[in-house]
Amino acid sequence: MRIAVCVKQVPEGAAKRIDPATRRLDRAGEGALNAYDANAVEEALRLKESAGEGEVVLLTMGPARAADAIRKALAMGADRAILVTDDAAAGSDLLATSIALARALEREQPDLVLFGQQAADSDGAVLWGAVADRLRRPLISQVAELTLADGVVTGKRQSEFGYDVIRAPLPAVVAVSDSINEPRYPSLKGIMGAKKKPQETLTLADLGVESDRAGEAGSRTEVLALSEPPSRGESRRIDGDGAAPEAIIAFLAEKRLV
Amino acid sequence: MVEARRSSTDLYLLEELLDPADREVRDRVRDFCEREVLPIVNDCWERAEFPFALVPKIGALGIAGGTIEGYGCPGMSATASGLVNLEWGRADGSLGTFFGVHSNLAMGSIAAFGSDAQKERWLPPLARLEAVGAFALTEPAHGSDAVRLETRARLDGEDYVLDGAKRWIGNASFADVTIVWARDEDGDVGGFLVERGAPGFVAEVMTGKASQRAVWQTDIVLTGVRVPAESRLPGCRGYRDVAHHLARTRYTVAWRALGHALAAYEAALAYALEREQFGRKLAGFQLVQDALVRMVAEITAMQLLCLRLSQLVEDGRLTAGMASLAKLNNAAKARAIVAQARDILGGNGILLEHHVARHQADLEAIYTFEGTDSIQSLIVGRELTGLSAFA
Repeated sequence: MRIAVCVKQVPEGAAKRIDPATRRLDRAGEGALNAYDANAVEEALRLKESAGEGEVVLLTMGPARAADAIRKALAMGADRAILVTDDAAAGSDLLATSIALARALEREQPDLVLFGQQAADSDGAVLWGAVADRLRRPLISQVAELTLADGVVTGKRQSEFGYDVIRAPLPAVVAVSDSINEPRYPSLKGIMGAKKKPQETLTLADLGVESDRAGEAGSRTEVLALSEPPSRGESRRIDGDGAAPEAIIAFLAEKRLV
Repeated sequence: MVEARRSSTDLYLLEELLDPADREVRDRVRDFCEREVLPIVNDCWERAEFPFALVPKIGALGIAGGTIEGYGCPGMSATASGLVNLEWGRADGSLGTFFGVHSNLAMGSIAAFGSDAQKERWLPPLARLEAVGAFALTEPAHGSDAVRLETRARLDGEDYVLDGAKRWIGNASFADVTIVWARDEDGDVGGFLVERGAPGFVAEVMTGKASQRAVWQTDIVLTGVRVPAESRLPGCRGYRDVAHHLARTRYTVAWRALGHALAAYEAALAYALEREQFGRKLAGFQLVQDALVRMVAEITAMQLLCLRLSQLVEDGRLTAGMASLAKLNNAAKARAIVAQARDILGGNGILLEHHVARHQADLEAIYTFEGTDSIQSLIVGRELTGLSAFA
């Protein structure tokens, strides 16, 4: 059984800064594995462990630095990783990204493709739908409980009014909810071993993605404007320099809140 | 006022040269030490108590076994292993020695010289710290000239019978397995795995130490200790192999010395930025700044040396001279740095609560163990000149 997990590298702490010049997310600084994707990696590892066989393959698209996210997921226990990286892919919107990911998945022919519920940086939660559509595979999203048996995946799906239980034949695509599990903390052995696991880097050409279907050229959405969130009004910042507790109490007393 | 650099102990931005996995290993050990070790260690040191409660927690960290591959060991890079030892130094010399003896010397010897069966039996529980290891080489009459060790191993039927005495053997009063180095009837030195409770094996904790008080070293007496013939480490053909292994572990001591220097410098800087005399901060005085600068100059040189040394270990190109030069340089420089830091803290510097006095005392052991300053010099001298001036 082969399980592919699509993961994304996001800025550490999911601090959201937008570069006004490019209107893209500012990805400078440390990167981290999208926390929602850690749930998908964990679920893949559990499925593999309970089956007693199989392979967990990571797939990501992004700058070469996206290797940070891969490293964390490999340290958790995934078997190998594929990084799609190409200058021409920069600025891809979800449509363009879904083409590249779908092509890479077609090469791998996994029985199951897992996604996290959303990206912690852009808060996008549609990529799994686009990829499932391109692969022409059934999709279950927001899955809080997942079982595999006899070539059928069963997902208990959280909805507003309770749970839907949905079955789909493999191969299928599943986006897991962040309540599905508690991702494991990689062991030091896992961290050190991650470096030695196979990591493959592919370009768009390797995947046969035409350049007009990637990057800005292949994107069908455009960011027109960006603005700062509205100000919270008058606020005062009290730094923790030792006198902070007194300052906070004085402030609360002044407002007659204590 | 000019803004101070955020990390004044990484002036040359060496952090950028570290692999992210190695950094993560380092950060976990540092975090563990700050959370679990520093709050209790001064008390342990003062009362000469070994903090047994930390042993399973160190086991759970998954760092024991260092660079050893397989058998439940972490398989770290040599740099990560160096950084682990640095963090022990930065936190505490006693625990650094506990760990160094267990992981580098005992587990390292089993990994280097043990049979598959011996590795299978001992390395996994030692890696989890469900079992503790000790390494018995030094003798009451043989320190620097351990090559002349007198403990005997006599083959008697299916067993070896060990007789002799060992001194300064860390962990041996409670270790599950002690590697005893003894000379066989052909005069060759071999390593023998002696399990806890073996009749005739008596390890008594040494008292009255003024350095690394929280780790227990022992005096061992071996009287007719019988071990099965298969307890001998088959990969060790003589003292040369032991010496080679010691050179391999010695690089970690250079990292430990750096750790002590960093801790002392950081304490001195923090104190100098806080303490005021003559109406201004100590750090604002020229003499104090000069002292801090010279400490950082040595620390930076030690960092560069350690990093390069670990690369050479990783590539399998470490020579005895390279390891000895690093140990000699770093132990001596760290010794001067902790003394300087102690001075900057003034009278407060001799109080355990400021940590620096403990580092200063602990460094005296590091300056001497795993080869004294003089012996390191002679090992390097031999490599430079081709002439042995000591043996």
